[in-house]
Amino acid sequence: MADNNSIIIKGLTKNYGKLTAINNLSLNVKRGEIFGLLGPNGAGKTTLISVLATLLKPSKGKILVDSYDVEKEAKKVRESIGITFQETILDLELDAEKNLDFHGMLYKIPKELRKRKIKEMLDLVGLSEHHKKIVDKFSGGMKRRLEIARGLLHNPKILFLDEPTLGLDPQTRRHIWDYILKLKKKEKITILLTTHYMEEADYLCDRVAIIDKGKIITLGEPKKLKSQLQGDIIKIKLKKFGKRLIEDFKKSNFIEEVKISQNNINLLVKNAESKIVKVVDILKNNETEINEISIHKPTLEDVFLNFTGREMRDDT
Amino acid sequence: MIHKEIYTIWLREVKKALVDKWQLIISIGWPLFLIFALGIGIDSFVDVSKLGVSYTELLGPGIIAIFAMAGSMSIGNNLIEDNKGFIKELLVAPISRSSIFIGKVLGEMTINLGTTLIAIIIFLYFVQLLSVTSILLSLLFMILIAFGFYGFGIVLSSLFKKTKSYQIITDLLVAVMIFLSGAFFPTENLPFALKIFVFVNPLTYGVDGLRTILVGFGEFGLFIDALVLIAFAIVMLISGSYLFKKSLEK
Repeated sequence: MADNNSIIIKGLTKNYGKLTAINNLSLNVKRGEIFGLLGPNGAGKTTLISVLATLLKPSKGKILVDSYDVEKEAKKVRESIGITFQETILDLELDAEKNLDFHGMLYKIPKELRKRKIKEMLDLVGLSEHHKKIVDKFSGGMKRRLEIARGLLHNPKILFLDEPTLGLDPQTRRHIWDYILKLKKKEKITILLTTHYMEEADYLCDRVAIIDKGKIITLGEPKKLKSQLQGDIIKIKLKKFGKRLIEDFKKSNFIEEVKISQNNINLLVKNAESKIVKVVDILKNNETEINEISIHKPTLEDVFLNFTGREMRDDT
Repeated sequence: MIHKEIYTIWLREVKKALVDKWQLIISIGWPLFLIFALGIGIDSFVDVSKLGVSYTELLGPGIIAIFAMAGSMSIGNNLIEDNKGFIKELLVAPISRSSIFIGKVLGEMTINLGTTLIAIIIFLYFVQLLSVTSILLSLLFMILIAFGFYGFGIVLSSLFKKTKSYQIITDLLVAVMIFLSGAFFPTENLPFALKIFVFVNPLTYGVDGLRTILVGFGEFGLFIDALVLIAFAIVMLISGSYLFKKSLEK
């Protein structure tokens, strides 16, 4: 196909019995981009990746991966993709090299080429020194890097990363991010990743689709999504507050939007630094006790909150 | 190309198993320990020579058949379990579903039958009945046993896995099959009610077949034994592979 889309999803619905995991979702992923699916647990991200990777059959809709139909040309799709799963799926009792070698055999890579590719991939993810080490002795981050190396071994055109940094500590997470960015530069492949970490999507992705309850809520470059929220966020944590306070906030002319979740109030304000005094005044007039008040630039978290009225953490 | 896929999956199973040396040693040693500890113990105070064999000789093939059965059943069992784990890596690879199934069966079977065969050779050596014919024939019979109970394991786990009583059901079934198979005693003089169980128990024919081959003592004859085991294997493998494929389609 002459177009420059790597993945085309038209009207995908996936039902598990009565439960609808994905609801009439359409989406295009461009060649060579890092595309992020961002959403809380249970939003349908993993289901979506499983359908794209031919592990699950769609209930409805047409899906092309690397211009092959996932239902009719599943084998062609499988040849074009690489994947890392949410959970660690490695042969822990074997060494790193054997893990990759077995994968290469599955994809019928000839022996000589296999050897070369294994070396190259271990190099890419910084595991060359550990090629003979039993995988069971690897740290969480090393295992994940090995899985990424494995996913890349057969030169896939598209790489799926399902929650690539789930359960890793912040420092290791950073490392993985850098490897992913390096990969994009070097290998020129399309990467589709799911995450429920906002910073991850923000840091890595060219475009992000925020999904919730099996639907895309909004889609775009992280920068643009954030700038949709015009202004800064004033975050206020209160012990308790009444309806009148919210009314007052809504009445004031300098506050663009008021969002409430539990005991937190988020105000969307332009030039927050100069308006914070006014906000405190309103709080004082209402005799509310302030636990915390802060200004910050909008993050994807705020975008999510803005579109769904919930915080992502609520669902986890 | 399909043979290459099967070979790859077979190789992975074998390589993984060979890493764990202790597991291998134990699976060879455990049946031998049972045979000789129990066999020599009972031979020391009961005389069964009117049967023409010692109790150790009677028991050996029985224990070996039991291990071939139990091993195969747990393989079938694990296959369904594995669905959530490594099998995903296989399922996203551009290989056929049948290769995965066949490769896994053959791989685990190689290890299971390999260790049992070594146990057989050691047993035969100690009872001084070692011969190439009996080794080859017994391998053939163990393959029949393995295929049948492999399928049986898959059938059981796909039928009952979701129920809480799964473990109890399989434990009970395995116990009934072990004790009413003639593995520990000839079944000739059993009361009729128990004999019914013995007759419908496929393991009975495995025990009887192996005993005929290894120590030359049997009740039904090799032909009947083989026939029953083949029929059992065909039925179980057909229903097993059907249920396995179904478990992959979600």
